[in-house]
Amino acid sequence: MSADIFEQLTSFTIAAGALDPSTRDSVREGLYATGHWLLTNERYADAAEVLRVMCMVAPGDERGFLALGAAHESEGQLEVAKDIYATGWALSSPSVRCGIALSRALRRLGDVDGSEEVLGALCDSDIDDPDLAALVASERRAA
Amino acid sequence: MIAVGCATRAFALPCAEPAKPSGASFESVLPAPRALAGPNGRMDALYTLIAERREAGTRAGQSQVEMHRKSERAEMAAANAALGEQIDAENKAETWGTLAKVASAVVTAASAVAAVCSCGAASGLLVASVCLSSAAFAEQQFHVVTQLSQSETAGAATSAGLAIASAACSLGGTLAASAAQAGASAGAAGASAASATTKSVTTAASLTASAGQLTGGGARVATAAYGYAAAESGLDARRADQHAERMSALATWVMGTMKEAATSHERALKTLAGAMKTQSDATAIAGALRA
Repeated sequence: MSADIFEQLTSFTIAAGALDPSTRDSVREGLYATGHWLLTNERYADAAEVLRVMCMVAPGDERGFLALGAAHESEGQLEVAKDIYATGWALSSPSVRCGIALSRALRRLGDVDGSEEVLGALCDSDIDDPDLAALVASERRAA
Repeated sequence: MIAVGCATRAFALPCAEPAKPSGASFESVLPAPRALAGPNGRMDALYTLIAERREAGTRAGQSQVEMHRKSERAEMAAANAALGEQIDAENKAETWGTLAKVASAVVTAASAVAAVCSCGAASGLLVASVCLSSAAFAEQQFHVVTQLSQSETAGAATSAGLAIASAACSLGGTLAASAAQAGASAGAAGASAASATTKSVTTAASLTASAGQLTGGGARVATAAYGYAAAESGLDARRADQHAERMSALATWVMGTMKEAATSHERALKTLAGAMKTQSDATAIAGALRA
């Protein structure tokens, strides 16, 4: 990440703290769009910088943790990604997506019991979105 | 599965399909960004806010510069007022200083005469006459009465009156001294002619002595006048110095104002360049995203 972009992001984060909630939503969406664009262009380190800022600005948004974990996982840092998914699951509760990603990461790391435990917790939770509920059910079946 | 298109990799929206065991943990759960309004698409919100923050910083800087200018102007006005008061005070001191010098010269002359003469009642009259004469001389030299009364006639009359009074006092004093000396030498019956001669000689000597004393007093007054002229020259030099100081302060203030204006313009140019670069980057990124 260039110094110019980093300076803009830093100043942007400071400015975001003094903004009204509606503008803060725009900030959050802009940060996620930027991080997602960098992620899809395989600029994982740059994406991680932007997504860390998003996690600080909007810790209640599960997408920041998901995308940040994805950046680390794409760099081969699965342990780090697992911790980030776990953080997102705890902070953005109920984060069904972070739970699914955490369960998958645990399974890939060989922690099947941990993965099953997370999936069980997800199944016991009340999921409003039918798509997400179906995704959790299919994950449970696949496990 | 609904895929979000990208150049090298696709991230999927959540769907009901189970994840493949070999796939990444985030596949099928990472949402795509929401579409944002604006001509530059999803990057617009970011760069708009950055530009707004920079604009706010520029405004704050301009306010600070204006506040600093006002403060500097107030300081300059206060300094000018203080300088004017100082000049007025020195002018007043100059006026009173002249009068004090004249009085000092008169007192000095009187003291000199008093130190020389010690002949009873005659010395008092001599001192008084010398004082009057000195005052008359001072009036002729400096026109103190004329200045105080604003009347040429009064000044001339005063000078003439003082001179006449001085001559009368000198003559009276001399006669008194002569009388005392005549009393001391009384008894010689045939000495009236000699006494008369003595009177004449004594009178002449006294007059000569008075003239010499008066000359001494005049010289002292002249010395005092020379000192006054020297002091006036020094005051002119101080005035010139103060004028130079004032001009120097004014030049410094003008240079400071010009420098601030240049700095402000430089900051504005930098901000403008940054905003133009931001807009260019945003357009390029938006173009890449559309592609």
